[in-house]
Amino acid sequence: MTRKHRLAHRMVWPALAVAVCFGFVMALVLRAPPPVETPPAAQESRK
Amino acid sequence: MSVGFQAVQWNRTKYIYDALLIAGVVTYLVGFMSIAAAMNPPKNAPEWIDLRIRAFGTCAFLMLTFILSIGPLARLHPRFLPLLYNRRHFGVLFFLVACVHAASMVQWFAVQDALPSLAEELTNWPNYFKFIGFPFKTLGIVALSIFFLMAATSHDYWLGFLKPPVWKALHMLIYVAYGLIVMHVALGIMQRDYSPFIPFLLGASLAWVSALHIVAGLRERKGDRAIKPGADGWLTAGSPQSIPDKRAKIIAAPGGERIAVYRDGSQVAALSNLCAHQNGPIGEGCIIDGLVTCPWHGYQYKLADGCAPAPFTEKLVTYRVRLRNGAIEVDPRALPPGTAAAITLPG
Repeated sequence: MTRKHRLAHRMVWPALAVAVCFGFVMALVLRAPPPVETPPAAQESRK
Repeated sequence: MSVGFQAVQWNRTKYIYDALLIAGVVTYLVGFMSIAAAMNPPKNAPEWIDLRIRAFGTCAFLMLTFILSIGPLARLHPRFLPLLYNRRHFGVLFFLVACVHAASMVQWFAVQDALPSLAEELTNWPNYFKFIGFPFKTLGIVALSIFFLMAATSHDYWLGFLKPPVWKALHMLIYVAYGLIVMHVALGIMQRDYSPFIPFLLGASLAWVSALHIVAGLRERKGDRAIKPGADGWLTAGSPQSIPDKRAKIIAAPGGERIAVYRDGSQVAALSNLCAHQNGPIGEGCIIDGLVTCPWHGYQYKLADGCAPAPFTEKLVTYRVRLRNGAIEVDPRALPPGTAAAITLPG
């Protein structure tokens, strides 16, 4: 690889890693909580 | 090589490489679909298609992670160089797997007469200003477009047409595409599927690929440290014995490209460290059958003048060398490609 390509690699990867890691963590933290399954007994009592 | 382009120049190594690749992909897909179908049997056509979407999607993601690992692994240890040899076929196969994933998604909407919903999802402009709820399929489409561009220009015809620096820069778009794919999964299936498998897959891939590239990049930085030139501007490479026979010592000129100083017995020559094919590190190769051989794809050049043997026409930049006070010195001012500049050591 040329010197320019090596320099581009060294600059791109840390920035890309930080940006994508941030996006991934935010997507994990902000996702909606899993739907809570109602126990059958509770469903019966509601009827 | 330059003697004339063929669709694919097949040889035994490429057949083996491709056979292993295809066997690996088929094994994964069959295994994934069989196990998933046994654990949670699909009840109708959309559920079967959904299973195919997941199988091809995870397969494509793992392939992409592997492809992105090959470059830095080969930089860190030569034992991984064979993986680099036919990486383009790996990339094209990955693109085909990704295409099946995308086509299956369209089919999933089509079998339910819901194609307008897909169009609506992609053109719901307010959602493009949200983070959770962003139309993640668009990220996948943009990434797939980049992969298409890369697959379409993967052949040596395009490498010759665009020239290695432009071609390499174009193919570095894979890094952007990888980021888009991670977010495609994180904002897509990870928002609906609560199994730990997807966050683990994404996190592990991201950590592995990023760490590999950063470590390889830091190691490369050491190789770019320039040798201080002498009063007349020549660089000292060391004694002839410090250059292993039939191999090279790589030195760096201030602000310039790396130079491979090769020794073949008593013959010494300095060549550009950039292979004319894909700018591979030719100084990390060795002399085979009397020819300097690039470690990436086996392109060969004569030590005397940096020219590929007939009928090939590639030429490397060469540099003047001299023996002075028992040390090999190199003039970092490049000579025109193909200029004879080797010297024969006395005795």
